Amino acid sequence: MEIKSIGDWLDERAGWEQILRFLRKKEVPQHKHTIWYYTGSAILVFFFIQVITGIMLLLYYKPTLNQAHQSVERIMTEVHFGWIIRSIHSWSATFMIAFVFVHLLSIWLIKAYRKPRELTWVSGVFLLVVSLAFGFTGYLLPWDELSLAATKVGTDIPRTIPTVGDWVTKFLRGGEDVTGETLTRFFGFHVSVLPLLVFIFMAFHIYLVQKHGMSVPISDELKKKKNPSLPFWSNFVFREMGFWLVLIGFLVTIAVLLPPGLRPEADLMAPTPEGIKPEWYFLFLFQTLKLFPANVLFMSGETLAVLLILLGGMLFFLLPLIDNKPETKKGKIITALAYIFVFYAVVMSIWSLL
Amino acid sequence: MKRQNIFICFLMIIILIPSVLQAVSFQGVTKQEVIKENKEESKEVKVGPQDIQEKTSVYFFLGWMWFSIGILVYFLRMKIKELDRLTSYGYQAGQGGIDDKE
Repeated sequence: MEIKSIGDWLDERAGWEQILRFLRKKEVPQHKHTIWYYTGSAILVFFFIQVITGIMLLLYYKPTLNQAHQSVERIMTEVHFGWIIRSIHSWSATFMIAFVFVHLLSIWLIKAYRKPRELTWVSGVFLLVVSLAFGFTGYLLPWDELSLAATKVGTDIPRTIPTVGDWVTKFLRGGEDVTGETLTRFFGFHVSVLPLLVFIFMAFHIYLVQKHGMSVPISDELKKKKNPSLPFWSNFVFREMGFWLVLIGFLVTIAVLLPPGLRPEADLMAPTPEGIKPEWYFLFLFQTLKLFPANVLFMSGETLAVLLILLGGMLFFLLPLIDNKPETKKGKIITALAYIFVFYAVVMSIWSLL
Repeated sequence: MKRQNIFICFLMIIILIPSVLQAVSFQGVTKQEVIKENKEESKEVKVGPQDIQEKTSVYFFLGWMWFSIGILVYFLRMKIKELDRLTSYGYQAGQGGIDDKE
């Protein structure tokens, strides 16, 4: 059967020609901020790399108290190319989260969350939360002493929230303390619940991006002259492909040169080791918590810090409602807040590592 | 390079610094502990390429990969130039453009 006839056969049943027609008509605006558009597809690339390497790791990983650490050790020492698959999985998570941050920051800076793209922003923030949850649940899976200690600290933080905090901690841990129950629970979240959520939010996010088209910065929109544009298929897609290739090159190089290690197996009875730190994307929050004194006025410092962080997160989530000015206004304060946030997060993260 | 590109590169580097620092420091600790563990329990935990042969093959692979990426990016660039030229003439993919050649 010829390729064309296979295409016709598929088109008759699935109607994929309509999608192609849409992609051919879709245009990408060309302006000085066009480069930000590449960050969205980069996230997708790293997510698919994670899915593929995750499935490969799943073939050998055993999510039980007695076998988790040994199975990861086996992946790293006995399974052919196991160490590099694990390293790519871990580093692609790092790259993906870094790009999610950059993507959201770019939207923040060019104010692309304003009407009619409020829901695109909200779904994007949900995707950030799910990505962070992926990182948090995946961190425990090797079941080494560091991951156990970090999970103990991490799951203990919600306890400080009044009323619901205790319940959240128990729900995450599957009991009072971090045990084998927590490991099984985190594994379940990591391989079934979170991927499902990602697919739902991602599909919704991509649908909204297609519906509203790509956002043009206000400075360009105000120009009387119409911005030049580029056909999405295939001029822009080929440009993206070049970018993906370079990113994959960097990913594999770093994964080969800096594979993540495996510390001794977690011991539930052992004291918490010194110098425990969460993954890099939680470092600034971790350092913020450490800065607060034991007691502030009538409440504990930790509770106040957690409540302030939650408030900050809520304001970030509701940014389209806070900055709902007409598109002609630039919102310089919002831009300044974005730069302050980046500066704060970087300084706190580096401070936490010193 | 445009100012925007430089800013994004800078941002990516800044964001990835804590991650790389963490990986490097963690790697160092792990290696020390592996040696310690080997002495105590004679248990071997290998992380990454071990001997010179494996290391050579890894570097060879990385070199080959970057060479291939370079070639692919070169061909993509040529294709993009061709597509942009056709677009400037008013051709579009699916409307008698180069993607419809059969």
